[in-house]
Parts: sequence; structure tokens; C-alpha cells
Amino acid sequence: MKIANQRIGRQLFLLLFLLLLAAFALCSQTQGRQEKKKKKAAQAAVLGIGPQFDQWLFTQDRAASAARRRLESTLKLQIAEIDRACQLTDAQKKNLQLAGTGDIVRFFDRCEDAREKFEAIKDQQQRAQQTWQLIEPLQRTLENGLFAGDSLFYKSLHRIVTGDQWTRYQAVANEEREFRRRAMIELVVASLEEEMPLSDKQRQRLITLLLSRVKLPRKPGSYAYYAIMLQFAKTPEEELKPLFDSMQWKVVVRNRSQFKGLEQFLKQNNIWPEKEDAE
Amino acid sequence: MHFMRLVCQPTKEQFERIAAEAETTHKATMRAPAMRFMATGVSVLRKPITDALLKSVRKVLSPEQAERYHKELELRNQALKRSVALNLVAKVDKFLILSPQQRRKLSKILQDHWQESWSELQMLMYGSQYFPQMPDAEISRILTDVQKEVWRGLTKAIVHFGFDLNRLNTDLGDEVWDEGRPPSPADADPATAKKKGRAGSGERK
Repeated sequence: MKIANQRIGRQLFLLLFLLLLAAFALCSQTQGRQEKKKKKAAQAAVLGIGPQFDQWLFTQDRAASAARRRLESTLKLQIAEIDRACQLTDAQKKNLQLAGTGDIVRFFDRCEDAREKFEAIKDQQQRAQQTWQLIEPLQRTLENGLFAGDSLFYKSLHRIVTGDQWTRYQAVANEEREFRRRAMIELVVASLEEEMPLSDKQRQRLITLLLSRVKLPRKPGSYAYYAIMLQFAKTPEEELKPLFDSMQWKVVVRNRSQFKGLEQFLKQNNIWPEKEDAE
Repeated sequence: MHFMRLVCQPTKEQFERIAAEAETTHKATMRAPAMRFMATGVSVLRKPITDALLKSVRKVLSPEQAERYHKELELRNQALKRSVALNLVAKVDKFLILSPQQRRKLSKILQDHWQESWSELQMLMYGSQYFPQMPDAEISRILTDVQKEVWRGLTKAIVHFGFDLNRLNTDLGDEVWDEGRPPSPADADPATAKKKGRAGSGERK
């Protein structure tokens, strides 16, 4: 009995020892990773990489932490908007929150990868050349909106809400799109008027014509204006020309020719509106 | 000058008097905005130029013609304000996910608290990430708590794009009296053009 107890005691001691060893190994591994991270951060700080990279990437927020906070708030606002239109259940809200959080995590993983690649480039000239290539796709994701188009959030939304809720949400989303379309068309007209003032009658006619023809680009962001301008450039001459006098028409022709070369670029970057987008 | 001709339809004599006056006042008119641009970076040239031209129009043309010109300038100004306000609202909307009601309210706030520097359209055309300085107190009043939090965190900067040389290079050029083809609203109105034919109005006295 005594021998058996001693054996159990030894086995327990061994088990405890092994557990402690595993915990220590895990702990030192984590510590090692943290130290490595700290060391890397310290090196980056000395070189000015971390903050510099963040400032370039997050032009609006200046720092990754601020960008993350803003995106988390945007997610809340996005869910609140859908809730206003659809009266979501708690379970639906939770699922949307989960999907949106997934988009945020996925985005910051991409940022982290880009940062690592950036830090790995030791040659200053090479770094200068490649920085934009690393940062630009991430900035474009931010510009297009993290929860739009091909995001987890948007894809899940269709599955999470009922058909009736989807219809109600689409009505709200269409209203917002229509607002944006009108704003962009009026901006194109205002920018044209910087070179060539129009009478009120001409302005109203041009806006009406463009409203009947121009579709929103597939993605918002810095190229949206070009996409609208190009559609203006592609509006058939027989519809556009009667709105202007001969001198104004010369300016219109110059403007139209400036934007015609952009079509390929806008199509390649999935910005050019597809036929079905506005239908 | 072309816009003035289009709207007021002056006679050749009236046009030449206004053109002569514009020639002398042009330099003086441009000096103030140029100095302002040097000091602040704001390059809003339209108003000083149209103000100076309006003075000449009032001096030379009939009260009806001057009123027509003044009214068109007002309408043009309103259209610009509306366009800028709509686009600023769309820009804010992207970050704050506004409701339709909030969009309407914000548009009104911006038009009521208009700032001349917002007329630099490049900020809206090329998708700048920054917001101009906007009436924070009024805007905050229409926002929810979460929206306020996001709004406070957004960078609002005084960003000026300066002169848009591209646009200055492609302007209408100097307006000259063209006997053969003066500007006419009929040109811009196919229905009227059909009735009146292409007869120019430059020779009207």
C-alpha cells in the first residue's frame, strides 16, 4: 500500500513537473515572441518606420490604433443603419457584428503583412519605390469602405436577413446611392462651370441629361469623379451639343477628349459601372 | 465676358464699352485675390471678377439687362453652393453613415454656414481624405453619440490646392465680338433656335 502510494506520488510529481515544464516552455516562447516583437518595434522606432508607415497608410487616422477604433465605430453605425431599415433581431445583429469584425481583422492582417514587407526592405531606394505598391491597395480598401462590395459583412448580410428585410434595406441603400449620384453629377457640372459658366437653363438641362445617362462607379473613392467625367465624355454628341453655344461647345469638346483615354484603366480596376449596376 | 454676352445680349457698342472697362479694372481686381492667395493659399477668383464685371454691366447696360445678369450670377452661386454642400455631405456620409434626414439637415447647415474656401473643387473631385474646417458645433447637434465620436476623430485641415493651372489653360480665352456667330441663348435652346433660325443677336440696337 505504502509502495503504491509512493508510486502514485512519484507519478503525480512527474506529471506536475511536466506541466510546469510545458507552461515554462510556453511562457518563454511567448516571452521570446514578445521580446522579438519589442526588439523589432524598437528597431523600427529608431528608424522611424512604425509611425511613418502608419502615417502614410492611415492618412485620415494617423495611427493604426485610431484607424481600428474608427472602423469599429463605423461597423456599429453600419449595423445601426441596417437596424433602422430592417429591425434586426439580437441574433442577426450579433452575426453581422461577427462578420464585420472579421473584415476588420482581415484588413489589419493585410496591413501587418505589408508592414513586414516594408520593414524587410533594407535598401532605401528600393523602399521608396515599393512603399506605394504596398500601401495603395490598402488605402483603396479603406476608401471603398471595409464593409462594402466583396466584404464578409456584405456577403453575410444577404444570408443573415430575411427577404423582406433585404428589400427594405435595399430601398435605404438605393436612396443613399441616388444621393451620391446626384452629388457627383452636380460636381461635374460645377467643375465644368469653372471654365465655362452656364445659364441656369443650360445647367438644369445638363443635369437632367446626365441624370438620365450617368451611373455610379462600382467603387467610390478617388477615381469616382473620373468615371463620371468619362460617362459625360461618352454622352452622344447629338444629345449634348444642343445644350451649348458654339464657344462653350469648344470647351466641352476639350474636356471630353481629356477623359476618353481613361476607360481601360477604370475597367481594369473594376471602377467602371457595369450595365446592371444602376438597373 | 462670354457669360455676360450670353445672358445680357449687349449691342456691339455696349460690349466694347464693357470690354474696355474690364481691361482697366481687371488688373486691379486680380491684385486683391492674388495677394490673398499669397497670404492664405485660398484661390477663389470667381467672385471678385464677376463683381467687377457686374459693376461695369450696371454702368453700361439697361437695368433689365443688369438685373438679368445679376440674377444669373446669383443662380450660379447657389448652384455652386448646393453642389459643394451635397458633395461634402456625401463625404461625411461615408464616415458617419447618416440617415436621409441627417443628410438633409447637414446640407442645410453647410449652405447656411458657407465658407468661400470650400469652392476649391479639387478637394471634392480627387477624393482627398481630408475634411475642410466645418461648423463643428452645428454638425454635432444632429449626430448620434457614436457618430460624434467618429466625427471628433476625423482630421479636418485647411487644405488649399492653389490655382488649378490645367483649368486656367483651357478657359474660353478672350471674348471678341464675332459678327458671324455671337452667343445667343437660342444656341442653347433648340426650340427657340428653330423658331428664330440662326440669326445672331449681336447687331441688335
